[in-house]
Amino acid sequence: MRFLFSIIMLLTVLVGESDVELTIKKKVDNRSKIAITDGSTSIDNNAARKVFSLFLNDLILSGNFSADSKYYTTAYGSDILPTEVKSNEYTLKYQLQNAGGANLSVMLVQNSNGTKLFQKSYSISAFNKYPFLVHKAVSDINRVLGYGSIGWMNRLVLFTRYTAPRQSEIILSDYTFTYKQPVIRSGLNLFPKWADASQGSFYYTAMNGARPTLYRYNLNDGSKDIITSSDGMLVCSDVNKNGSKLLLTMAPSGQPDIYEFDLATKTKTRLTDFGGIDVGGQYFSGEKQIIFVSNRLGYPNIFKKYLTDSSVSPVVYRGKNNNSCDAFGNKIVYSSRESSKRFSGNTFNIYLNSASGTMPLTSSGDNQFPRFSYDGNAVLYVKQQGGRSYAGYVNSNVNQTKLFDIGSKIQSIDW
Amino acid sequence: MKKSIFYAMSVLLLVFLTGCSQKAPELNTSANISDTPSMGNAGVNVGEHDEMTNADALKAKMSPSGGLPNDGTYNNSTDGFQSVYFGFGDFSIVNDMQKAIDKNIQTLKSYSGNIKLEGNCDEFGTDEFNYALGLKRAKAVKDALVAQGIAAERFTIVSLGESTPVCTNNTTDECYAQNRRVDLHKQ
Repeated sequence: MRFLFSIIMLLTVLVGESDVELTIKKKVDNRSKIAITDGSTSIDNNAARKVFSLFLNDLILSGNFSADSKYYTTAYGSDILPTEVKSNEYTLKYQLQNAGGANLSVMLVQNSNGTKLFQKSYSISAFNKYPFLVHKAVSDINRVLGYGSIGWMNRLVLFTRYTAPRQSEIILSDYTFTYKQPVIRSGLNLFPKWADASQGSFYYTAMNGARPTLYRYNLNDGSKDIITSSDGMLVCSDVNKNGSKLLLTMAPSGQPDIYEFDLATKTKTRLTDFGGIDVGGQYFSGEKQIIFVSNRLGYPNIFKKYLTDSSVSPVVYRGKNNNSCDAFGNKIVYSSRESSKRFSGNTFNIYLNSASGTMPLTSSGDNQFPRFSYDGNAVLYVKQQGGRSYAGYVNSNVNQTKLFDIGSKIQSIDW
Repeated sequence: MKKSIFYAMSVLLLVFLTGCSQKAPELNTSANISDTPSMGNAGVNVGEHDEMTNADALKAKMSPSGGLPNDGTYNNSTDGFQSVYFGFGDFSIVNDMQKAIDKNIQTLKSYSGNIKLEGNCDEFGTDEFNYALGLKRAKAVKDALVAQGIAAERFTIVSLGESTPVCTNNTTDECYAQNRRVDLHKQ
C-alpha cells in the first residue's frame, strides 16, 4: 500500500513539473523572434551602437519579442540579409541619418519569404532627439503586428534634480533617459507635473520669490503663466483627466492639506483638514475619490476619501512607512518600507493594489515614486542606489521589467 | 466532642490574652517636644566633590534631536539666532532643544523686525512629504516663540524640504541630524 502511494505521489510531482515546463515553453514560444540590422552610413559607431541598444531594449520591454542581441549591419536598400538572422521570424532593418535633424527609416521583413510587412520614415528637428523616433517606430511595429499597446514608450518624462543648495533643474527626457534636456534652470524649481495627456505643457513650483508659486510652462513656445501661490508650501500632485482641475498640497496657514483647484474659476476647495501632514493627493475611482499620504496614524500611510465627504479611511494595511502612491482607475501603486533601519540600507518595495489583490512589483532595494503610465499598462518607479537614481519600468501585462540609469539623485518625476 | 471544643477555645483565648499583654512605652515629654525653635545649624549645605562628565555618553542620550549638543556647537542660523534641531521624522520640539528656543527669545528682545523661519529635512522619504515635514517644523518653532510672547505676525515660515542640506559628506546619524532643522534669519 505504502509502495503504491509513493508511486502515485511521484507521478503527481512529475506531471506537475511537466506542466510548469510546458507553460514556460509556451510563454517563450509566444514571443516573436526578431533580429535587428543597422544600415546607417552617416553616424559614428558610438551613436550607431546606442541606437541599436534602444531598438533592442524597446523590443524586449514590449514583452512581445525575443530579440537577437547581436549587432548586425546590412545596407538598408539591399534585399540581402545576413545568413545568421534568417533563423528569426522577423528582421527589423533601420537607417538613421543626421541631416540637420534626425531621419529614421525602418522596415520590418518576414524572413521566411522576404516580404516587407511594414515600412516608415520618421524625422525630428534635432539629431539628439532620435530616441523618440526609435520608440515611435517600435510601438508602430508592435501595433501593426496586432500586439497590445506599448504607447507609453513614447511618453516624455519630466524630472527634477538638485544641483546645489537651493538650486535645481527640471529636465525633459525620453523614457530611457538617453535624451536629456534641461528646460527650467536657475533657482529652486520643483515638482513638475504634466498639464494634460498631450504633454505640451507642465506645472511646476518655483520657490524663488516670497511665496511658493505654481506656474504652467509651455514647452513649445517657452511661455509661462502664474496659476496660484501659497504661503508655506505648494505642490501640484495630480491633474484630472480633462485637465480642468488640480489636486494641490498647500499650507496657507502653515498646515499642509490637500485642496482641489478649479482652473476655470481660480477657486480652491479644501479636501482634507488634519493637524498633521496630508500630501500627495491623487484622483481615484472615476475622480469621485482621492487617495493621499497622511501621518494620521503616526506614520506615513495611504488613505482615501470622497471629494464631497469628510470621512477618511486607510487603503493600505501593511508596512509602517508608505510614503508615495499613484492611482489609475481603481488600481493603486504605492511604496512601502520593509525594514526599520533609521538610516541607509532600508528596503522600500512597490506594491500594486487592484481588485484581484495586492502584488509586489519589486523585491529588493530602495524603490520610490511609483507612477502609472497614462494608459495604466506600465508602472514607472525610481530605484535609489549608491547616490544615483535608476528608473524601473514594469510592463504588468507581460511581466517585463527594465532599469535605466537616470544619473544623480532625483527630487521628483512624472511621465 | 464537646470537651475537645472547650479545650481548643481555651488555648485560643490564652494566646490572645498573652499577645495583648505588651507594656506601652512611657513618654518623656520634656525630651521630645519643645516650644523653643532651634536657631542653629538650619542651613542645607550639600557637599559636591569629584564631578565627572562623560560628554560622549550624554551626547548619545540626546537622541531625540539626533544626538546634537544643545550648546550652540551646530548652528546654521544668522543674525544671532540659534537653529533648532529635530528627531527623525518628527516635528515636535524636544526638551534638549528648549535652550535653543530660549536663546532665540533673548535675541528677539533686541530686535523688533520680522523673522523668516526655514524648515529643513534629511534625505529620507519622498520630497513632497519632506516639504510638509519641514513646514511643520518651522511652524512648531513659530508656535514655541509665539507662546513666549513674540507676535505671530512677525514670522514668515517656509519649507526647503531636503534642498538645503548642511552636511552631505557622510552617512552618520550626526550628519543627517544637522539637516533636520529650522533656521532663523532676520527679514
